[in-house]
Amino acid sequence: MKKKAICIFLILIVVSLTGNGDYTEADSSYIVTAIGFDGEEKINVSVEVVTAGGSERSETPTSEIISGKGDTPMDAVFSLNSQITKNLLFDHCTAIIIGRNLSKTNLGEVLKYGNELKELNFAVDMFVCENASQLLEKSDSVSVSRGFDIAANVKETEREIGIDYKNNFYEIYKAYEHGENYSFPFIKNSDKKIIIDGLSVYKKKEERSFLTNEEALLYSFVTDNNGGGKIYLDDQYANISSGEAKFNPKTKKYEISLCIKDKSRRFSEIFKQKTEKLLVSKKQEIGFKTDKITVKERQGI
Amino acid sequence: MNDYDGLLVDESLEKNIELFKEIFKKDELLRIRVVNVGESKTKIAFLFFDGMVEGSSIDDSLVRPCVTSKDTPRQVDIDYILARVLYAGELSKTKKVSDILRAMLNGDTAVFLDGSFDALTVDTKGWRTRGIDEPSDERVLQGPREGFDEAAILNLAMIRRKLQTPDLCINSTTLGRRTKTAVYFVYLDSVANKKCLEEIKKRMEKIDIDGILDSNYIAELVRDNKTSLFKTTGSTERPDIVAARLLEGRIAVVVDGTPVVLTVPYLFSENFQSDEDYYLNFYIASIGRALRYICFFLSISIPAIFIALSTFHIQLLPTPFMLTVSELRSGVPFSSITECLALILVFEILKETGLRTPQSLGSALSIVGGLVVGQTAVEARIMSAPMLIVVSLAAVAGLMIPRLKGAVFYLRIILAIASAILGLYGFMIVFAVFVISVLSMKSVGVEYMLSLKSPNFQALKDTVIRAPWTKMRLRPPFNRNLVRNRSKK
Repeated sequence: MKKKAICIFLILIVVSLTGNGDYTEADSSYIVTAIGFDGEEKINVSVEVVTAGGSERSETPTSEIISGKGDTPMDAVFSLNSQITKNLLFDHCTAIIIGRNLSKTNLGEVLKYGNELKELNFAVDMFVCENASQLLEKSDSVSVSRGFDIAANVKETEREIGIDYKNNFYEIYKAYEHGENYSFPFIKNSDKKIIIDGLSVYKKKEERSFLTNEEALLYSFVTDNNGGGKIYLDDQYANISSGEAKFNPKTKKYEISLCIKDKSRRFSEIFKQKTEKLLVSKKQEIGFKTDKITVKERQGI
Repeated sequence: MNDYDGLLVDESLEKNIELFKEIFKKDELLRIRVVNVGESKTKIAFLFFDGMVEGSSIDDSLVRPCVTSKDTPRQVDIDYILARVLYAGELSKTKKVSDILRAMLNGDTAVFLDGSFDALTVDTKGWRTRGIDEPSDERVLQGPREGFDEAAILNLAMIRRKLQTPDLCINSTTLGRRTKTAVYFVYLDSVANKKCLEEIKKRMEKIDIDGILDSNYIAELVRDNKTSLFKTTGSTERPDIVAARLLEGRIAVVVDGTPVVLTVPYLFSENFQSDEDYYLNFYIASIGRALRYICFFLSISIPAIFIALSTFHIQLLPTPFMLTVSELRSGVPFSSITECLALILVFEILKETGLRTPQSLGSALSIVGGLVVGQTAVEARIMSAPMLIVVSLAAVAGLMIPRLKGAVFYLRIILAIASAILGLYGFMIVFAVFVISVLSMKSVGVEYMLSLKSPNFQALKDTVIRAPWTKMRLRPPFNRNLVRNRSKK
C-alpha cells in the first residue's frame, strides 16, 4: 500500500513537473504570422492572424489584422486579447515589424517583451518601417500572410546580393543586451511588393544611423556579413562568390578579401572609393574602428 | 475416466457389454458388433464409436478375419485371437477398463472375448482430417506450402519428414481433465536447451484445466508474464518453420486437435521475422525485416506523435503544415484524441469484420469502410482528414507485423492517450515504460530481448536484417553449452 502511494505520488510529481498543460486544438487558436508595433506614448500592437478557410474546405486560409493599444507592449496585447475569443499562437510568427517612431523611443520595451513572450520561434526576423499597422493591413499579399511575404522577400534579396542582415530577433536581443550594434532592414510597400529601402543601425535602444541600400551593401562587406552575390555599384558590377573582412590592428585597416567570378573593369576602384567614403561619413555614428581599407581579390569559380 | 480406474474387464462378455452401454448410455454413437469366432461357439465383441474409426479397417482387419477364421479350436482365448486371427497392425492387451475407455475415445476399437479377463484395443483411427493445405495466415510467395492439420500424429510425421535424424525426440503427455488432449514435446536432443525443456514440462505439469482445445490454452497457461501485451510463445501452422526453430535449439509443443504448434523460447525479434525471409534473397529479406521494425514504431507512435505535435507542440510543425491542419480541423466537433480513438476503433471493427465476412461480401465492406466511414465522415466534418490519414497510416503499418497485432492496438491507444494528456513528455514516459517492461520480460526463462538487449554482431545477423546463410554459422545464444555451430567454417 505504501509502495503504491509512493508510486502514485511520484507519477503525479513527474506529470506536474513537465509543465505541459498547454493543450490547444489547432483550429481553436489564431496563428499569428506577424506582429507590428507602433506608437510613441501609447503602444499600438497589430497582429496578423491566419484563420482557416471559410465554410468550404476548398477555400484557402485568409489573414486578418487585430489591433490593441496599451502603455506597454504587454498591455496592448492584453487589450487585443480581450477582443477575440481564440488564443493567439505566436509560435509561427515570422516577422516583427516596428514603426520608426516607436523604434526611436521604446525599442527596448519591445525587445524585452518579445524575449519574455517565450513563444516566438527561433526563426523570427525583425524589421523597421514607417508604420507597421499600415504595412500589415495592405491586402495585396502574394501568399496567405503579409508576414510570410515580408520574410520571403527579404530572404530573396539576401540571396541575390549576398547580404546577411542579421535581423533575427534573438541575435538582435543578444546584441541589445551586450550593447553591440544591431540593425533592421527598413521595409516599405512598393508596387504590391515589399522592398528593402535601407538599413537602420542601432546601439542599445538608440538608432545610430540609417544607411541606404548601397551603403548597407558596403556595410555588410565591412562587417563580414556578405556571403557573395551579384552586386552593382553605379554602372559597375561584380559577381562575387564569397567575401571576407577583418580588422587588422597592426595596419589599422579593414582587410576585405573578395572572391570574384566576374566583374566589370572599374568595379574594384569604385568599391574601394565608396567603402572608404562610407567609413568616413558614418565613422562616428556607427563607430567604425578606421576609415581605411585594403581590398584583396582572387579569382573565384 | 478416474471413476473407472480400479475397474477390470469381466470374464462375461455380456457383463462387459452392459458395462460399456451403461457408461455411454447418453452417447448414441457407440457401436457394438458381436460375432462368433469362426466355427467355435466363442463370441467376440467389437466396440467403437461411429465416425472415429475407419469402417473398412474394422470390416477387413477385425470382423471378417473372426467370422471367416478356419480350423478354430473349440476353446478360443485372447492370445489366439491376438496371434492368429486379427490382421490389425497396432493392438494391445489390457485388463483395465480405464485404458479401454481412453483408447476407444481416441478412435481405437475395443475387442472383448467371452470368457477372457483381457481385452484388446486395436488402432482403427479413421476420422477425417483437413489435409495438408497452406495455412491462410502464413502464406508465402516462395517456399514450402504445406501446413499442419488437426491430427497431432500427422503433424509429428510432417516434422519428422523434415528432420530425418535420430536426434529428434518426441515426448508426450496428456492435458485436460475431460479432454485428455495429447500434447507432444518435440526437440533435437543435442541442440535443444534442456533448461527450457525442463521448465516447460514443469509448467505443463502444473496445468489443471478441464479442457485443452487449442495450443493457445497452453500458451496462456505457461507464459512467464501473465499480463504482458506480448506473447512469449511462438506459434505456427507450418512444419518448415517448426523444423527451422528446432534446428535453432527451440522446443516445439504439438497439441492434438489444433494445427497450431507452439515453440519456445520465443524472442521479441521473432515478431518481426516472416516465414519467407529465409526463402528469399537476403537483400530482399533484410529490407522487409527492417521495414517491419520501422512499421512497428510508426504503427504505435504516429497517432500519438501527431496528437502531441498538433495540440501541445504546435511550434514544431512547419507553418504551412500547421495551417493545413488547422484549416482541415475547422468545424470538427470532437477533440483530436476523441477523433483518434474513434478512428482506431472503427478501423479495428472494419478489420475484424473483414476477417469474419464471407469473401463475396468483401468488396461491399471495402466500399462501406473506405467511402462511407472515410470520405463521408470527412466531408460531413465528423472527422478531420489529417487524423484519418494518420490513423490509416498507423493501421496499414500495423498490418506489416501481424504477430504483434494485439500489442500494437493497445500500445497505439495508450500512447495516444498519454500524448493527449502530456504531449511528447507523455509519449516518452509511456514509451520508456514499454521499453523497460519488454527488456525485463522472459520466455521460459530466456530473456525476451536476448538478441537485441546485449547486441553482438552474431546475434544481430538474424534480427534487424537477415544475413546470408554463409554468415550465420551460429545458432541463437540460448545456452552457451549447446552445439552452437550450424555449419563448418
